[in-house]
Amino acid sequence: MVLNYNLKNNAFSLLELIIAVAILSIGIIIVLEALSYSTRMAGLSCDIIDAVLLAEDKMQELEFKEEQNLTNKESGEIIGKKEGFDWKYTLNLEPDLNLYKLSFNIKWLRANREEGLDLNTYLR
Amino acid sequence: MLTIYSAFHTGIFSYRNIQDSIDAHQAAGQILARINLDLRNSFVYSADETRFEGKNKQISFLALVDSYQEDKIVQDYTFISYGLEGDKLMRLYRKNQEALNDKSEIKPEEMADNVDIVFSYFYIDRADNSLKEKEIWDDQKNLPAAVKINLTLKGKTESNFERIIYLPLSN
Repeated sequence: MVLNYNLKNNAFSLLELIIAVAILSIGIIIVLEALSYSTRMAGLSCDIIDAVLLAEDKMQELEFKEEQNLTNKESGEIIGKKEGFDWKYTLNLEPDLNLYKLSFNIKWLRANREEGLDLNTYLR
Repeated sequence: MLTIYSAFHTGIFSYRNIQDSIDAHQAAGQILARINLDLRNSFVYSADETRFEGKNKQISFLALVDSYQEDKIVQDYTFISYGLEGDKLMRLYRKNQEALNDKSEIKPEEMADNVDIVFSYFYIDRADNSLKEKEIWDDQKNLPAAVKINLTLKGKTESNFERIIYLPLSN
């Protein structure tokens, strides 16, 4: 009596399955990581827009107050806080240019990481 | 599979939320930059008449605005007004001869919708050299020192933006 076995193997082997699942996992991890990164960067871009608006306000305020003699132009560091942003600016006289260099620095926290922005301009 | 689906769903949901926030920030940035540029270029019409009128929901003034003419940048004197029509932010822009024509038929153009805007005005109190705020500006002899703009964009979520714009020609 002869048993007629079909020896042609159509199924995946265990090794093939493991490799396929590993490739799929790597792909999913990459996509999820990209999604998380793009969300973080999108949030950061919103923060930067807010920070730039704040910096512009503060620079205009300083320029205006000095033009109107409401404050004295003195070299030094001023610090402040507004809606989650910590800002500070330093004003230094540049003798060669006879201009004041205004360096504005804003810091804030995004997902427990400190982010920052530095802006510089010159005032007469 | 359920975990993967859940992770993707949460990721896309939070991305959509942040996308709304980006759209609001970019729109607010553009609106505030436009108003800032116009206000910073505002000028006084005459010693007795600034033609600057500031209300709670509307502001109008004269300003110099750059425009192109035969490949050259020229400055046009213009009358500019920002105000609300329902929940639409409208900008009226009349230039040159039309600037002083109060009966002009030029209509305001829509800048943004689903918006609320509140203006307030600062002046210098020379008694203590500080800036004081008031809701309406009706002084026709002086420009305000600064204009505070409180802009609210009402999308799926409400976003609030505040700017104080200092007028270089105020006294």
